[in-house]
Amino acid sequence: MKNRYEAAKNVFIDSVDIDDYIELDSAGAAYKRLQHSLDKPLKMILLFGKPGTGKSILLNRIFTKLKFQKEIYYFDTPSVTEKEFFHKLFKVLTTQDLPRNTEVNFSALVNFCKELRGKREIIILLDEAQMYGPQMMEKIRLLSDSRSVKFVVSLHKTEDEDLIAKEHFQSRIWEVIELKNATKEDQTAYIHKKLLKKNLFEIANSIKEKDMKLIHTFTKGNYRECNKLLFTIFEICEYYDKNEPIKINYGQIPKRIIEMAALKLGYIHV
Amino acid sequence: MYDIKPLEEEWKKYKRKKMKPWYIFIFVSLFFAVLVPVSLPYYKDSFFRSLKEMTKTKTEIQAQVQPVAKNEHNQSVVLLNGPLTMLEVYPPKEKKEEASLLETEPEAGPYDSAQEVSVLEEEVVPIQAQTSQPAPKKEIQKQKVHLNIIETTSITAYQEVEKRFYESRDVEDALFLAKSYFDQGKYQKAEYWALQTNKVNQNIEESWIIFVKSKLKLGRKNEAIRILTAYVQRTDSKQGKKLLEQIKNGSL
Ligand SMILES: Nc1ncnc2c1ncn2[C@@H]1O[C@H](COP(=O)(O)OP(=O)(O)OP(=O)(O)O)[C@@H](O)[C@H]1O
Ligand SMILES: [Mg+2]
Repeated sequence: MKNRYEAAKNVFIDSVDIDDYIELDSAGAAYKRLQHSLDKPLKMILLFGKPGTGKSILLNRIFTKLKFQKEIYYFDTPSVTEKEFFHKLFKVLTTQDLPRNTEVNFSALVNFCKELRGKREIIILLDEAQMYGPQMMEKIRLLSDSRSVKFVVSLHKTEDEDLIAKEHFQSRIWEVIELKNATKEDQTAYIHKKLLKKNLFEIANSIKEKDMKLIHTFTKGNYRECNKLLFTIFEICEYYDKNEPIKINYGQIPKRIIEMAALKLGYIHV
Repeated sequence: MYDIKPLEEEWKKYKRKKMKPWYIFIFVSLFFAVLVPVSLPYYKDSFFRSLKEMTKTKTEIQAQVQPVAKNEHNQSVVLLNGPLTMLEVYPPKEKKEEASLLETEPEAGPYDSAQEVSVLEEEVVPIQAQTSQPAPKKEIQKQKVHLNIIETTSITAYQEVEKRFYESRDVEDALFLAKSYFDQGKYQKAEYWALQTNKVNQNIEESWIIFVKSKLKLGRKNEAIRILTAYVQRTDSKQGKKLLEQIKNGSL
């Protein structure tokens, strides 16, 4: 059983690749809500949640699912400048490139969108929208008023910024879908399914209920933190497996190793 | 090679610390198991007096335990109180209590109980914060509030610099913002401003390093490696190479 821990470790490398998507109760519910919202004549949809709660992977999923049925685009990295953003948008709307040194006339763009009404229904998935300033957001909103372009805005905000964001979006008639950290059950399913997908049955079985509880306490159910913790756990297992196999129990991951990983990542301290 | 030794040492320290309240608890219970049956006959003549004595020693012990157990003190007090009240009210039962406790202890394994404590603690802490707090914790909180103030008042200053950058595209401003946000742990913003810096001038090493480190902090290890590899290929940077090594072998 050489290198099985290495394989397990690699399972938990952060990825928003759609092949790595896992069906979970919460993610499934969010997906259904998003799909439902996209069918409604809403102008904007806000996908909201802490970092690492699965917004990007959800957008990816909806994009892959709908790309043959609808006119849908996924803007994964935010444009650095307004100019860049409108160039990108112009390309999407007109399928033409704008010459580099020209600016997009915003009101012309709005008019263009209005004319598209009833002819095309364009969905744009905007990831990492916290990078766009309020002025940009306002322009995006004006564009969506044309009703030919519908934006799904994915946004993560933390702590103090949280409130500002929520206030801003609540004053609009937007649909808000919030993604939360996983429950213990969902996180357990997540870990198991991820391992089983790569046929690592024994390893999946070696993480017991009690360990899952501990992992959930450390990571608070955040998917990204969960990835980090499991990556580190298997990294330590891999080391022991290769160098000091007496220190490892193949039937059950020793709690000591989970705690060591938690120490390394700073979830707990000496 | 993976450097496991320091981590193992750290874990041992961690475990020892976690076990401390248990050792104290066992010690105190043992102490009473011996002391109470011996001392009770001497106070037979005055039952009330003995009761007073008992409560006095109890509070004394609580006071002793508090500074040592720190966060865990709530728990150890609860645990202490349990058997102690038993001792007072039903002196004969106390031996059973002791025995069962001593039995279950090794069975669960010292390691397992450490586990339980850590899990419990996580849940106990917020409640504690609302009720009584040990002195050291209060200090930390005060410090935090202070830090928060500094941060919030300077937010406008940063916004000024941001605004200025959008007008002037001064690379110094962008780099300053990237550095400051990184130091403050605002990695998303640090990433953004490092990117801005790189867009204006793609040869500032410090900015690339912040960019990559921010990504790493945000959990995007693969992306970080990809970008840094490209950077190292382009510039042959020594610092870049070193960082790349560190990221790959997980020492960062
Ligand atoms: N349903 C899921 N199936 C598979 N992996 C998931 C799922 N949900 C979350 N993840 C994992 O969690 C990690 C974080 O998810 P993601 O990057 O989508 O979070 P995010 O909310 O977009 O974070 P950020 O706000 O920082 O961009 C991803 O690497 C992904 O592997
Ligand atoms: Mg994301």
